[in-house]
Amino acid sequence: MSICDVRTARSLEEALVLTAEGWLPLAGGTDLVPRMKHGLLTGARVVIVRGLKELHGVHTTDTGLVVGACTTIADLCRSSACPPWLGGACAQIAGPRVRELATVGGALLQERRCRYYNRPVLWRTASGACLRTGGDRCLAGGDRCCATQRSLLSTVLVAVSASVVISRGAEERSVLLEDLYGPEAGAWRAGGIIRSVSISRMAEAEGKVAVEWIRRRASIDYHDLVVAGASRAGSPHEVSVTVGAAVPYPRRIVLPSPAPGGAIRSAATLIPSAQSGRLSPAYLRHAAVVLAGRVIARVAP
Amino acid sequence: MSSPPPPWPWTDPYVADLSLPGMVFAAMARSTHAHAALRSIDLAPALATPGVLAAVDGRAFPLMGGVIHSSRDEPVLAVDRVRYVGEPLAAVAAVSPEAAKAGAASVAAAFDPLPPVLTMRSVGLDVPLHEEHPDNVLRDVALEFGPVDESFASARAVFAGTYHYGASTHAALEPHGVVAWWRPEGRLWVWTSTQCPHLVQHGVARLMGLEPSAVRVITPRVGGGFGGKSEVFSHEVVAARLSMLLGRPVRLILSREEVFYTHRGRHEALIDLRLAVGAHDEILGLDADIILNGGAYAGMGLVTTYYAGQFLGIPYRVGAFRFRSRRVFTNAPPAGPKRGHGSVQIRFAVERLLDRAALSLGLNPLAWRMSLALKSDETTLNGLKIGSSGFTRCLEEIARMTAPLQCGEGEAIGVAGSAYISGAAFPIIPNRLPHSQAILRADRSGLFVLTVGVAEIGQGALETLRTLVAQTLGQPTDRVLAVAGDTDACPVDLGSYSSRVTLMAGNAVIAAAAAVRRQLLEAAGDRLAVAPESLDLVPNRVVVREDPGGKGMSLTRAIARAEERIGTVIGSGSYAPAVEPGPYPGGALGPSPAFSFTAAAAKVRFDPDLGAVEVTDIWIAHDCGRAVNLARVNAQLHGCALMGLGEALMEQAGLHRGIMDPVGMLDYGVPTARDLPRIHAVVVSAADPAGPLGAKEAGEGPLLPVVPAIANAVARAAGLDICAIPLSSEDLVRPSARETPLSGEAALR
Ligand SMILES: Cc1cc2nc3c(=O)[nH]c(=O)nc-3n(C[C@H](O)[C@H](O)[C@H](O)COP(=O)(O)OP(=O)(O)OC[C@H]3O[C@@H](n4cnc5c(N)ncnc54)[C@H](O)[C@@H]3O)c2cc1C
Ligand code: SF4
Repeated sequence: MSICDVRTARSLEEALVLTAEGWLPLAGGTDLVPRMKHGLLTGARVVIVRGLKELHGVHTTDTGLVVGACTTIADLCRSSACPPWLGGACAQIAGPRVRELATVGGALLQERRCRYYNRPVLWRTASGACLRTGGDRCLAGGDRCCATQRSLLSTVLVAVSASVVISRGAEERSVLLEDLYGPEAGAWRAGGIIRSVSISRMAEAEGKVAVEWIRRRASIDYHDLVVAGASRAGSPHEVSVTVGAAVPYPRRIVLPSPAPGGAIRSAATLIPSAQSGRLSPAYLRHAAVVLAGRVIARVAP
Repeated sequence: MSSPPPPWPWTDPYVADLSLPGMVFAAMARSTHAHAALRSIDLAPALATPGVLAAVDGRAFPLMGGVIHSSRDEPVLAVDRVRYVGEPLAAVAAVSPEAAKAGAASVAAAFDPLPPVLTMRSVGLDVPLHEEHPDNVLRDVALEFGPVDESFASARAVFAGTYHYGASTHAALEPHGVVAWWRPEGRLWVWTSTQCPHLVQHGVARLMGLEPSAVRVITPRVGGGFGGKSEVFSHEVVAARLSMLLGRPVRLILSREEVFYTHRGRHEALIDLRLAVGAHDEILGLDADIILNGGAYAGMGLVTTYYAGQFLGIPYRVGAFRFRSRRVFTNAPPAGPKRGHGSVQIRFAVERLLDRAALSLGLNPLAWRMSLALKSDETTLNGLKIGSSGFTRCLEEIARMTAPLQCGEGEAIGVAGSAYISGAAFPIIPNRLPHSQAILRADRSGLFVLTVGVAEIGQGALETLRTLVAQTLGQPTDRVLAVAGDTDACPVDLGSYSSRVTLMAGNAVIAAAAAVRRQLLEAAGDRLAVAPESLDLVPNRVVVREDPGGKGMSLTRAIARAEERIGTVIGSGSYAPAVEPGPYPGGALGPSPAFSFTAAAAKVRFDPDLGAVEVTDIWIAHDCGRAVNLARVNAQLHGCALMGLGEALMEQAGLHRGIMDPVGMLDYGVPTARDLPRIHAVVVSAADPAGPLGAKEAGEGPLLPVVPAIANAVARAAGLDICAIPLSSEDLVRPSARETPLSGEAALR
């Protein structure tokens, strides 16, 4: 696998020191290990964090739900504190065996995927290098890398304005997940350790979150497109649509009331014009509008 | 004994589980070019890699590989040209799998790229892959049966369509793998995951310059084949060569990526089809022009080329038909036999066109198919002798099961029919030798030990053969043990392909069992002073048929008495089909001792906004002749429904920018448990005199109508003409897919 070094962190402090030096945290390994096998992390150093107690657990607090970053998706589903809309969405991720390993933090920071990138060495050698592997062009046809984070959980959590507590070296901050995916937070995404995810109470009202997706198979396959709709329990006129899986990172659009039509159509414009997955941008844009209409119909007052 | 006997010790593990003293590990270097002249290859860096013990390239193998004598075109390792990405270039043996991989990665090859041939649509216009085939066509077959032009001229309606069937692969869970051991006594032992141990024995011997007697092939437990393990592969031969060089056992297990490059999957097909319907709704004529994408080498492609046309008409009576079938070379991994070999693509085209015709003519698609059905003992225009046909009953079962159903908004039901061979009547290498042989020995302990050459590949063939022996001897199945898949221990069998095992090996084992039965009854009759004909075998006893509670003896005593009389109690049986080839060139490709029949229906829910298809139900009624083992037949029907669903909606394995795509199980979409619709399987038994106790086949035929039944249902639900498989939401939702709107009432809706 061409990995230089693997260590198991004995404490969060040790993990933070190592990640500040460029070590990659490994939680469930369902995203990282396949990339190692594909020779995409040659020379990387890896610190295993999944055993750290501080990063586990699902608790309800006065303000909402707090989930430790190393909680597996299966444990989150099983937790009595997990609201049905979240449990239902998590049950759609991968398949049962992956969910037993995959963690919430790993789901939020899993690598952006691309049909030219997530491939074994021989295939990539035959197809040629792209911008991300040392080449000078994007094989998907983009003017920059348009690989997409195919994460249902990220999309749903951005939709409900979840925030994460993230540490980087000695620093710690709480940021909106949506902002963690923004251009300014790149260093935090690369060098930080997510400790927990917080979902405020507003999102817990059943029926105010709706998720629709496109996926080839009903299990295992990464989602091609996820569209989540959410409305605030306290202020029913604030309705948002979040598009994920077909975009580099999930993006949320707050819909103007009372005429959200144009904004629904703008969901399509989030989809990159280069094709890094199995479906064409044209189809994904069409589908994004269809799904946005459907989720809005379910959450709008 | 209540549980089945344990498997033969040698067949217990998979090949990747085998570990032998002194064993070393091999890996292959493969081409990263789709088409290129191989200027040079340098093994020195590989040999200098720590842990590497030996390396070979194409120069070690002077002969070409290939199943069919007339089309041996595939080097064991590339010599002067590479013809697809992933083609084996060299192989390295080392002390560990990691060292072998590192060695393989360091093999240095220099190439001069050539223009690749990436699509079969430009047939005849590209750079040739093989000098012997300047037009890139392996074989161009044209056959005509009956007055085709006249039938079209006199038709009341003519329908035409162009159909595309995408390539797919087998996706057997166990990857290919081999352990080869050149033994001190000068014999080669080869453990390999294969469907055809005797074929591998002869193929490896030929390519290694050995006598077949110097090669022993053993089939350990095999985790599925579906046709993908029925040739002699490079990895088998190079492991043998490396073992010979080192005098140590060599293990070479392909990675999943390498399995995709090895391929031999379903041929992509482009079919122009015309159908002439007569005044009484009969099929007056069929006319097909078929192009098959064969990939870089011939493999079994000659058979595919013929099958695609020869099975055009069945399961229907057709007034006249003709076909032109061409298999084209492209710079893709070689295509080959996959479940329903040669027939699945053409079935899709014919059943789609029939359905379109039914809609247009206002015919009920099920009732129309019933009126067209081939009946028992008919002979088709191209000389296929049908034997028993339960096709009408299959259609009746489908009608019975689907009649009460209502379809809601966006839902529809589609139907389709098919027939398939129960083994090819003629071997690939022409000869008059038995296709299957069996030896059965009665043991003093009361057990019967059956020795057969077939490979158990997870389909339950051995259980079925044991059941046939047990039924012939009147004993429970667990009294019969099977030793199989070892060319030293077992008599020759052509292998587990072409749906031939139940019928051919089945007839052989019944003959062997009948011989043992005769010996036992004669010995018992002698001792009891009763005519052997009046005796019968019942569990653990020999009894007088008319007086089962009276005179008799235990089975073990009967065996002992027989041993006293004749020595070892042993029976042998063999089988060669008593079938004549059609009296025309290629007439040996198509005939079978018996044909199975299937009817299928699928119910779908269609989302027009997204072009999304959900298959909610699949019904299969299959005539397998007599079901020797009902549970196994049902398992095959369910497996065929699953594979048909995958091919119709999810699975595709073709070139993307000149490279096999996908090359992993995550990207290749075999349906998961959550994708499965409700499957309603019914077995119809039209016992065939050619089959053992009337059995035909169930492993491949039931797949054939599943794909077109789904396509027909989608066509009806969406109001679209479906002309391409796999179905894609993108095509179904795009306005361009609506260019050919359907008319008429959906009769089943
Ligand atoms: C076969 C398969 C199918 C899948 N299908 C789906 C699907 O249908 N839908 C879907 O949404 N997802 C799907 N996934 C993705 C899956 O959800 C992620 O792989 C998983 O959640 C990642 O979690 P992990 O703990 O295994 O991450 P790891 O592999 O351990 O890590 C992933 C990345 O996150 C980083 N990381 C991990 N934990 C932390 C942390 N606490 N702080 C900072 N960085 C961290 C790692 O350094 C690494 O870069 C699938 C995955 C597989 C393997
Ligand atoms: S989107 Fe382009 S640059 Fe990014 S991984 Fe894919 S091919 Fe490479």
